[in-house]
Amino acid sequence: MADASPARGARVTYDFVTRAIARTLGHPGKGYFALLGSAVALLAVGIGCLLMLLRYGLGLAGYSHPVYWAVYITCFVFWVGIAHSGTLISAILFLFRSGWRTAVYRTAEAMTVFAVMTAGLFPLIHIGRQWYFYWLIPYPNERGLWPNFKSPLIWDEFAIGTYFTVSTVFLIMGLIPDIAAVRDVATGWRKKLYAITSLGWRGTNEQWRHYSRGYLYLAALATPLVLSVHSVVSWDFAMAIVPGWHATIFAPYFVAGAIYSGVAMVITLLVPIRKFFHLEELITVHHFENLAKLCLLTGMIVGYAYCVEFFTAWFGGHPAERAAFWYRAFGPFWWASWTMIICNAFLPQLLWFKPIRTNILGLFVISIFVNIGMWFERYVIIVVSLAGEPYERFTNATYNPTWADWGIMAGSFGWFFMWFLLFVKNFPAVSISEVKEVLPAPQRGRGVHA
Amino acid sequence: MSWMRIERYYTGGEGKPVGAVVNPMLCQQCGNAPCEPVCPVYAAYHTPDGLNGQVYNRCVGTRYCANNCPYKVRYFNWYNFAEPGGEWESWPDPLNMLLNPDVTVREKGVMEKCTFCVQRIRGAQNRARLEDRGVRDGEITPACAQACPSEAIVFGDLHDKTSLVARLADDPRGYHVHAELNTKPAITYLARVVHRAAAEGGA
Repeated sequence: MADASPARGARVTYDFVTRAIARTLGHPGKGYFALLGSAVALLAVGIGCLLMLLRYGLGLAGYSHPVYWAVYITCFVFWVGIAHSGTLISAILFLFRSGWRTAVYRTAEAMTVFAVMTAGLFPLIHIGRQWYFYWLIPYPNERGLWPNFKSPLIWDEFAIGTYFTVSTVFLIMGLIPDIAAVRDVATGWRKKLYAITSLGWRGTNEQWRHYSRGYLYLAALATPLVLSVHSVVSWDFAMAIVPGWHATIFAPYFVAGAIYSGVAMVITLLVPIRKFFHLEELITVHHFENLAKLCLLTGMIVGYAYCVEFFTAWFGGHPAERAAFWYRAFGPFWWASWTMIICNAFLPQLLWFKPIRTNILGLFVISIFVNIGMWFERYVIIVVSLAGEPYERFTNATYNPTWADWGIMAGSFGWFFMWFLLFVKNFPAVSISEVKEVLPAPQRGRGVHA
Repeated sequence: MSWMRIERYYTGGEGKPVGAVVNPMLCQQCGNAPCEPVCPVYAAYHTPDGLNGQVYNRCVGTRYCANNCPYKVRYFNWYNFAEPGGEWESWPDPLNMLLNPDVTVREKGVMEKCTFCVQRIRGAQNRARLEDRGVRDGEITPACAQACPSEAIVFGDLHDKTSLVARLADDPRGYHVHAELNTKPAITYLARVVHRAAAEGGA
């Protein structure tokens, strides 16, 4: 599994890798605590808003007839989308033997798990009687009542639950050899933590043989999930009859969009990690360029899907469908639709140019715009389609998010970043063992085996 | 919370006389209802006699049914409107006396809708069963039909071909709203026939 053009210096050896990555787990500075504190503060804001929502009701959020789903479901789809590139990079690219994934996959995988944890909160927050959320779960009960398996919301539950389980197992399994590596250099309570979580890993040939078989098997198991989860999420919409939702393109459109937003989020997270932890020699410009290419590809698919949606609305000739898409582009929410189109379809075209692809700051800025654009894509699909519902059109339909919407959304970012920050400081954020796989094996006089 | 909305459609326009057409829009009790299959907890379900029932006790408030209703006739309890002393209390004592004693007051976070006054239907069915007979045509009058002074709303059993409502539904003026969506609504609207002269002179 050789890295085609790693562009890494000769001083990147096995020993260097272990030291560089173990260093990321060193004593955190003031900056780290400031970031962690901000994340926890944001989470506190979100929890405060949620308590208000539980006490007084969903009316505190900006819903208005006929907009029955809004920012919370937008955030749900946004976070599920973010969660997708992790498994793509870790499982699919693993099966394709792409060497470049080794430097970035751990971050992407951790992001996946935390993003699913964030996404999973929203369906619980957004329902009217949150304290009865367990009625959505199929469990034997004395009332003999089961959920409705025809409802796409129940499919969602299974899709997200499966994805969360598999991606968590995949993350933990990939961590085992690395935890063992840092266990051997750690001291104090961490030594104990790593001793337990490394599950007795000693790096014997026998262990590696079982491990790599198991990892391959899990990768194969996770691969179909990359495609299935967001397809199922898209059916929450595509199965409904709302014009703007009811489209057969939704599954591939959502999957491409999810990977697109996920890769953008990986770039957004990796740029600061690389800078603060001084991992420039492990995560090189080459890796960012490959991520940018993936972004460009999926961005083109998303742009194509936008065109197809509008074309089908026009070509299909259904008056309601046409009215819905006219409303989307030129109605009162035109600004949201055009933010989506510019950020997602036009801006990534810049990635055709190598100087931009290899400019870390440029990529960082573009990735943030893609994140914003993908959030707006879900906002447009959900809010604008409902507000402009053409069958019984409410000509004065409007939707204005309130503090309860923004507060809980901010809280979700706090929740995500809190977990992510705790992760990067306590576990190796770059895979030690897999980065070594793509390096030349140590030989006498060239490096020290670590 | 009102379960029936009077929709206004304006006719005419610039340089022409302006008129308005009104259309009461309430739950159409679809035979093939888009709201039912999407409910994850079976709160929206189809009763054996063809109503779109809504089990308030079972509803958790995903609001998927309201999104999928093309008629937009489902309404949500955004707050607790019946909590005594609550910030959004809508019927402070003694106004709570006007609440229908036959119907539960819905909690916050629950979807509600017109059910053709299911409590009156069940009441009439129970009375008929006690008297060992069928429900007679005209025995059940929903509140909207009772309140309408021009008797524009007629309720009955469509399967009973001799009932008034079945005869009216067969009227050539009858139409279903959004029949193209194959929702198979139970409500038939009768179009108003206007003479051309009257139409041009302003309805």
